[in-house]
Amino acid sequence: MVSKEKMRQADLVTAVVLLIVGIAIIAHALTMPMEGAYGGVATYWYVSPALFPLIIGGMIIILCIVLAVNAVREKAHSQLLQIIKNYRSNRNISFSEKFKSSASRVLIVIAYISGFVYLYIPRTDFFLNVLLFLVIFIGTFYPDSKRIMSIGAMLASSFALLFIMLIVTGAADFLNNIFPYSMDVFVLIQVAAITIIFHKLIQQHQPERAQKLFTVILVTSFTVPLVLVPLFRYGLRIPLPVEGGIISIFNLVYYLLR
Amino acid sequence: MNFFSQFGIFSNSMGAVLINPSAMLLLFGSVFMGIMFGATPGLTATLGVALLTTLTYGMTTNLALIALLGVYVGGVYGGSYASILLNIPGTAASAATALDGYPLACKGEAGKALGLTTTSSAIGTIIGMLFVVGLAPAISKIALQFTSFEFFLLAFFGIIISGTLTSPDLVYKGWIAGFLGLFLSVIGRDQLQFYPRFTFGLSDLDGGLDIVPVLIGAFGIPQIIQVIRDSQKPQETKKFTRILPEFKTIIKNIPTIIRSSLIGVGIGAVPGIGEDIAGWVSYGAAKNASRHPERFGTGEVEAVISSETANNACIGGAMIPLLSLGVPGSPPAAMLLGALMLHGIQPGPMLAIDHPTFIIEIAAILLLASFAMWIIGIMLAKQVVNLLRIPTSVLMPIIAVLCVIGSYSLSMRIFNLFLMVIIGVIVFILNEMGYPIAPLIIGVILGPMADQNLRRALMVSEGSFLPVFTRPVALLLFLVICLTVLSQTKIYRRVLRKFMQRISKKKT
Repeated sequence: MVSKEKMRQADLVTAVVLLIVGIAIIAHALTMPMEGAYGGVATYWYVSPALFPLIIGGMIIILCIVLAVNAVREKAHSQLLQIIKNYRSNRNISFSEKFKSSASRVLIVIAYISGFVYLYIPRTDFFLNVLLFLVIFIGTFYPDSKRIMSIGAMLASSFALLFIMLIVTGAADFLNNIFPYSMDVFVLIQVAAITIIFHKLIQQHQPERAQKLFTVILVTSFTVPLVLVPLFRYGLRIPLPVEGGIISIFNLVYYLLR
Repeated sequence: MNFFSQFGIFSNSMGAVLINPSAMLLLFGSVFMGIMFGATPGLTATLGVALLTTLTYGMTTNLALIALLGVYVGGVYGGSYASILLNIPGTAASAATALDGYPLACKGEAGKALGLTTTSSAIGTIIGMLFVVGLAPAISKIALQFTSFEFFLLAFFGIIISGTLTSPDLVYKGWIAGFLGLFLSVIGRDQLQFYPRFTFGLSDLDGGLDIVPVLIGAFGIPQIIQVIRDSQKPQETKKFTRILPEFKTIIKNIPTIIRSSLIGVGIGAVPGIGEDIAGWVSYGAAKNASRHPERFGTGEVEAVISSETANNACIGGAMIPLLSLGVPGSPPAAMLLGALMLHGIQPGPMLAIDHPTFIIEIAAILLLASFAMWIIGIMLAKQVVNLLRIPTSVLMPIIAVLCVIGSYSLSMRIFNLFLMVIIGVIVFILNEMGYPIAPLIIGVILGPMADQNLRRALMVSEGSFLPVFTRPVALLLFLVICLTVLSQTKIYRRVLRKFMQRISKKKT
């Protein structure tokens, strides 16, 4: 549980951020038609589409001011200024190990989910995406080793950066024109590389549990997409975001057997 | 409809499920899934309902209801497993159960504690169901007299009361969360003039934010981040041989059961307040009423019964405003509302006219779900306990994949996945800063109701707010909102304290 003091400091920060949001809501609402005619229909202030956003923005602003005043009364602003001053004068400010560890875990989880959703899902085969996501996620956190976690995160970000480079430079399109599933092959290579690296890391850092850990990572990572993809694709008849090489093989088998 | 025809529909609805093997399989399967979700620390009944919504989209409405209510009932009950066997509440709803359930398990009476929670949860659900049948149609009838002003104030009241009661820190934060939810609901073309609001030229935002990805993002993503951050390790569960229904103990505690059920239903009926508060309030009430309050916290049977009866009775309570007014009583009920809307059913006063048998069908399913829960609880407890041994670092990425496929499947738009992650991260940050999620979700759900009804009401009154003061229900709602807001101010508390001091002086 965060202390009351720290909570008030956080209140001051969120109050300022949300105050800006409230002002932005009102500013945008004021661009909406208030009076006159819109689409051939007479508009009065009380039926204007801006009315409700104006109320919401106004209420957010009032509540944020109350929140900020309350935080200032409890001296949150001076404590916050002190923290900033300390940080400026002593940049190698030390955070507790526990905070560092939990903050890095949060960042890694957000990065993994964001990479999965924004980078891989719109571009490559869904089955491979799920497989890659699970291998990386479980491999990073399940062995419960800081070293494996940091190497796993670096590995994932390096591959993600490489993928972004391929997209930005146009190499991904070029390769896809030569072979339509080339980006799927790229993901498959990632899965293989990451699996091998995790295997070595686990053997190094957790030799006594290596067999069990590695089996759980592989079995879970393969079983989940093997169950989910056919269930959604053929059971619920939902076309998956991108149906690349692997799902094409699934389709081939399914329609051959049917 | 008279009593006999209602009873006929009730029996027919039950019979239709009982003679249909696939419906029975679905019922038991969904209750079992709900128990698993509830039992796993970090997963909640709301997330269970949210993820299952996708799978039920292709089903008939009746089958979808069986699945969704099964998960809801099972999820609320399932939390007691982790509470009793690990001293870690599986869900917030069962946090109060841990106080006495775990000491019971430490005494070697885990089987007895689970037997008590199973039977009292089933009784709580059934009593809640009786209130749904009794009260929802009556409230619907009254609500038919409501005009747009009342509906606007009702939505506003839901957000204010939810913000007030669920805020873990300052009450303003709950209200801010509610207004942020309302803001999310206005994104897209407005329903009266079709004007694009806050779409910034993005065609994906024209239709507004889809409720399911928003809810999955708000409930699923923060949960995944929190559980991985806290790196909870699976612990050794307390051993038990077999679970007995504990009827004798239950009969001895009938007054506690009745009191807890009433508390559960009452709290469930307040918009946005969930099963967790019902559990705590009921625990507190049982302690106050007990002849031996000092025994609470040391493995008192009455305590376990009180919290578990209340949190399951809360399900029925939460269904009352949902079905009669279209206002969800708890976060899982909010998710259920989203699922019902996907099936073309709009809960609210018109429900009794558009689907006259719907409430009775819901009651029949709730009754069957409580029986299924009881049977599974007594017979399959050991299998559920095995789930508690799955490491969270393996389970959470699977849940993340389910969140992704769940958000995508309904409208098959990748944009919904982008939205889910953004909402999830924002809600996680807000949650860390002490902002509750429930008012935000209630805001998203009730936003369109508040917006449209406010403008319709003002259109009829030509911009006048006078009807708020001339219509009794509107005036009552307005006064309750004002009182709720005022009661949080220092001036009000000071005036109230002085007033009470004067009264006590006069008495002496």
